[in-house]
Amino acid sequence: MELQVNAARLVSHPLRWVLALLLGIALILANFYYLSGSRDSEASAATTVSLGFAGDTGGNTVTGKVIDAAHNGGVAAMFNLGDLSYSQITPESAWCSFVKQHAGTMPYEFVTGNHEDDGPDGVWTNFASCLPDQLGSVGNYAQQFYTDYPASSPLVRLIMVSPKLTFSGSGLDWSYKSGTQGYKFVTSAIDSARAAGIPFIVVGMHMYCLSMVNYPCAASPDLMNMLVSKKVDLYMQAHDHAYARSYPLALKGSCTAIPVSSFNPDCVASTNANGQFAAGTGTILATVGSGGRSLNSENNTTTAPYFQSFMGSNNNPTYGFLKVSVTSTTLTGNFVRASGGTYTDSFTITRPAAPSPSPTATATATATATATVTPPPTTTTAPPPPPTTTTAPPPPPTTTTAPPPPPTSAISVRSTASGAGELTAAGSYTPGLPAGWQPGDTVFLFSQVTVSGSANTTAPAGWTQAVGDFTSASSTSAHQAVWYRVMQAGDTAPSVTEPAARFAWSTVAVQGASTTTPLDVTPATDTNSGVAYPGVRAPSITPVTPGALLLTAHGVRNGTNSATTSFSPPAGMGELGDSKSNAALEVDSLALTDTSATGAKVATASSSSGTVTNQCGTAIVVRPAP
Amino acid sequence: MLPVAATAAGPDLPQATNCSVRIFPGLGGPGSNAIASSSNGLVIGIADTAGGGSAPVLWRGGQPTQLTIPLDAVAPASVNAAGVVVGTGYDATNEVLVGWWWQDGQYHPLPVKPGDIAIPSAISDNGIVAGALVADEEHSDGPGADEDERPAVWPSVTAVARELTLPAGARGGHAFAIGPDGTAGGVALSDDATPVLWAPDGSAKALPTLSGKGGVVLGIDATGQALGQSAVADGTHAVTWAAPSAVTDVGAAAAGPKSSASSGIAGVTVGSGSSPSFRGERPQAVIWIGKSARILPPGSDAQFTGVSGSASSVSRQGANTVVIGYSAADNGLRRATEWSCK
Repeated sequence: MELQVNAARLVSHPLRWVLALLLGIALILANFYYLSGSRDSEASAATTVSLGFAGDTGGNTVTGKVIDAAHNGGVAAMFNLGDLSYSQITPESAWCSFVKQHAGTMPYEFVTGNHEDDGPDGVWTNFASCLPDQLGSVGNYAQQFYTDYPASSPLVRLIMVSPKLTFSGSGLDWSYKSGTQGYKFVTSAIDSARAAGIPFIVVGMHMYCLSMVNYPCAASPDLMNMLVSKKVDLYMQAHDHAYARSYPLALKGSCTAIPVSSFNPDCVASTNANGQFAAGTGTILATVGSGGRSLNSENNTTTAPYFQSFMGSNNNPTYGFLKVSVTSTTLTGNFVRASGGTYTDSFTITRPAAPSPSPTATATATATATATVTPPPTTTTAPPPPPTTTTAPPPPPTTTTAPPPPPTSAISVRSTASGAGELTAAGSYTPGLPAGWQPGDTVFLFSQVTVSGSANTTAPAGWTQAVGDFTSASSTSAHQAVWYRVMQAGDTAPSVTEPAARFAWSTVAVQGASTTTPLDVTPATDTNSGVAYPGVRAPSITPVTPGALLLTAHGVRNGTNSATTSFSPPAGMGELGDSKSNAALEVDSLALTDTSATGAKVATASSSSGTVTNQCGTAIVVRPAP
Repeated sequence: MLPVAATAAGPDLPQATNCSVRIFPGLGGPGSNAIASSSNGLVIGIADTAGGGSAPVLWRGGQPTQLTIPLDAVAPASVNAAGVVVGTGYDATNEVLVGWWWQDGQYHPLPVKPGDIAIPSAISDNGIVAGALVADEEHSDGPGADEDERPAVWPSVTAVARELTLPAGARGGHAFAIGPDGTAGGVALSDDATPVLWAPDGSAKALPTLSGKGGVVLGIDATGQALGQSAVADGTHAVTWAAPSAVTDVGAAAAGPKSSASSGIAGVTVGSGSSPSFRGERPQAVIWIGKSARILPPGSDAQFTGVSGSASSVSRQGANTVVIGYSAADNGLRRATEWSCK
């Protein structure tokens, strides 16, 4: 606002053009100074950026040890997930000084918890005054905001929100129920990050929903299910003074929402024992309430099966933080000990290849982080998404929009979608298109159908058959087929006509493929004659073009009507989709370098009941653009 | 670091061959979990219902009965020989966690002073309850109780809790176990986590650990021996404390890096561990008889194939040692399981 007032005076001054020129030069220089001397240059020079997260900190010796561990552990910035001082150090400014003594130059950001929304342990606005945003966040800092890191070439978007908190006088709905301002803020921030080609998305908040304590959802089921449906990579929460990290969660099969009072195996996308997961298969949920306040116990009861690893007062009590390290293709989480026991946890999310930028990458990113208001951030009415800002970036402010990553011509998978269902009468269903697809991408639609008659007989309008319907050697009720389409602006999801049947599908958006000859060679199919459970084989195929992309499909019909099947990908391949149902389908990818035969690729099935599965598989080589 | 009484090392874990395994029937849903058993073989846990939720359940002779508890998110924690069950649940109307006890079909809240919430963890055969208290917060903040837990004992289910003394420097703690003489066991939390025994008069005694980096008492057997876990470099090892000055690393007999003991009877301890040669090193139910460890293979039935598991309680029933816990399928689904060993 102050800049606008000054500018208005300038335009009426006799020397306005000279002054305007000088002001412009000054802004450019300030902008250059900020970019070259700030975190951007440091972060972009590195291939990996690491950020730290922990909530429920208090102000005691452990609190300091956790910050020290982050500061000394290569963390570029620390994010507190709320519940800051617990009045162990008062007033707020004294707690901020304590934090700064340990953090040094490491930016220390926070999102508000229930102890400082309207008290009782200080007020968030006062904390924001003494610990202002240092990362040029967009939105209302400490309440509802996002930041892209590193700003110059973002690898991750961090979205911080405040479900179930009470901000008196804000006049806003903080429930994060579907349709509310907060829900829209998050959906917009996710969608714009995807459109900008930012590889990973992390969402954090204080209140938990799914947890290992015997409480119901304290945050917002709508928000949690939206985050899972959009396949946010990592979803963090606190309020539970412990650490617990889930398997990737997904809405698949019978799982239409994540139940928080019972366990539905269909909501788990992968149970890889080593914590290695393919990006896009699900959302990993992590409770990180281990920042310094005394730990509580975690309960091994109803919701425990969602979690792969946990720590609490009843299991190796250890204070620490979650270190999240991001490259263009991986997001790795490590629980880093600061005090107490010896607990560790590690998981990695891997993309087959880095996505290339969208031509609309800058549309809603950080362009509006220009306000010059001083802390504390206001509680002004939140705008509809994308939000305008009331935050205070460090001086000098910049109007620079974070540029998207440099384009790449390599062929790779941009994004995927998958699902399953049942048609109770002959008709059609609509598989989802992969999020963020772009015109010129080639989208492959894999179809697996369980029915005793014919299936996969008609290509969706505008789509081309890649693999005609064929069936398993062990059952003519297990059908598989593949179609593809070079996408055009305005395309909508296809309609797939099938008989009354159970079905599974995956869609895969491939960028950098030849738009004239997407199929490098004729796809190969395999009826899996003689293949024993749990193997599901896709055949070897020999490309003719170096640098192509291999896509394999592994489908089954489970011999037990009520049973479902899930998969682990073939060794060395990245899992793109795992549609768990009676008609189940696994799709995987592998970047090829030469024209050697790929060799057969065998996925591993896991049946919920019995070992009778009727398998079939397909191998497709996607030709890169010349 | 205090002296370790004994260490038993083994390269790999054999399976127990003298145990029969059975999956308990549930309440019509796919999953269940046996959480604790009494000295006379009563078992409590949770089970999925046909309606899609979950409910507390009491198994007598392996047959389930759903407990009627007028709360949400009900989680039973322990049962004694008199059939008294304790646990927690969420009162959605008043937005508060409630500690409760149940017997013969009747539900009762555990008594607490105003401003406190009860979190019971264990009940002994003579009716003493161990657990924790936590400050009741402003309910508008919604579910949760994010203040420090304070260890406590209820002399009976109708008596107000008595807080246990924390060792110097500790900011919180939790009593997870109760012995036959009223001794409680658990953890005290300062910058570190200290395993603690509280004498019946409430005084605290810190116990030694294997690495100096903490531990937790999770059970006390009928002989008064404490058991639980102690931190080691790669995780935790199951340990027993026969005397307050000595810790025994029974977990070293489990070849995996992580093990923990949860319950014991004279000469027998059960918990969880793993072995490289068994089911891909997935966590398994483990029984230690003296210094010898054996895996209790997970159960399976026509609709369920167990690949991992954990043991939570053990009791002697006639000539048999009966262990309860859960078996888990590859997709994570759990089923309440009983291992009966000759």
